[in-house]
Amino acid sequence: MSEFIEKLSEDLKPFKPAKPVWFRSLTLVFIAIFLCLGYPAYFGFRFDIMEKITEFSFLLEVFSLIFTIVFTSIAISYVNIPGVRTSKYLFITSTLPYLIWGLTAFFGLSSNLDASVLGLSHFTISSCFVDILWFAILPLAIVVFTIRSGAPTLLLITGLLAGVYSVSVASLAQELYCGYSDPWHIVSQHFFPIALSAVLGTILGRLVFRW
Amino acid sequence: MVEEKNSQSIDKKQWIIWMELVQNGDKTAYKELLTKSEVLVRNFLRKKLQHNSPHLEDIVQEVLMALHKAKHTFDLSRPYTNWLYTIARYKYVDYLRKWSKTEKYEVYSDFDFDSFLATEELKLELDDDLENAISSLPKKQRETVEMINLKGMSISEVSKQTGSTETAIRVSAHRAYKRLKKILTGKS
Repeated sequence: MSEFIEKLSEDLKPFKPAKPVWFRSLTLVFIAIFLCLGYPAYFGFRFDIMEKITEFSFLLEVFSLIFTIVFTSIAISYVNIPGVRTSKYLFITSTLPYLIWGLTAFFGLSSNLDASVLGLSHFTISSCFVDILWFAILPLAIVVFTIRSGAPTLLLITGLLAGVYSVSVASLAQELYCGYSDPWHIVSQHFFPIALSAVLGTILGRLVFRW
Repeated sequence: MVEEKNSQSIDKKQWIIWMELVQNGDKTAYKELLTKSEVLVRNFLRKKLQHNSPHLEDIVQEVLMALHKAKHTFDLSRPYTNWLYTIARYKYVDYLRKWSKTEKYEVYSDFDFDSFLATEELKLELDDDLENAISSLPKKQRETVEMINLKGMSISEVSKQTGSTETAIRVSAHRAYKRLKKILTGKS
């Protein structure tokens, strides 16, 4: 073992410590803002954006996603550091806004059946689900790079957070671009991809973030 | 035991001082830090593993390697031992998970090569074939078989000489035996 320690110490070079948590969290939040605004700025904002910003349901969706992105950014920055005890509970906080949005979306779906049935037609013509997944590739690549530059020890939670962060960014961008707002569309095309990414992230986390 | 107590009684500030020096590339401080950390990790793992577990050395090595890889993630404002134990726990679980997958390939150093060859007559007949079969093995497997079965070295000795872990040697030996069996039974 002493030979091994000797080898490791010989291998040492001066290095810079990782950036502090607040810095990494802010970086992820700024990347998210840039991508969320950049996507609709390039493809065009939804036609009814001015009306929508006064609607409670739209604001709830947008703010749920904003809070999800901010909290997951903080949580991702924390889970990268071994020994931070609170990291285990951060994922609950970070997914809470998303879950609240989910509950209200399902409530809207069940209390407005006519609109839901009408929304079925959008299911076939809209490709928001696929668009969101495509657009999530870029934030996912960024967040995977960020996580892999650290030392995550809770791999399942890290995978879940990475999935939720990247698809939330894509979903928020799509929210500002897509003109459909009936409950069925929101649940199936905007809400469901995040749930899917959370499940996939949890499953793949151990594979992707193992070090 | 004395060394164990010494490592545990190290002042929290001392770890931080070492880590600060390590960040500046001080090799002596790093060696000191690793040596003291090794004692802590060994003690930590002893509580989790059974006494004299053959995996202890491998896991300690994995933890020190992980510490080396993740040293930039240490925050000087946080306690060093928390950081170290979290890495140790992570590597311990990771090692056990990995090991449980390869467990079925485990062979032991007291592998009875003679009984594998069945009888003395068959052994004589197979001498040439065996030599050819061994020489047809991939380099790593051939070296493993030669060291264990021809030179009579133990798994740990082979591990030290080749720089591979004991688990890797066992897996390599198992694959070699399987391959030899296939070649030899195919010929007979």
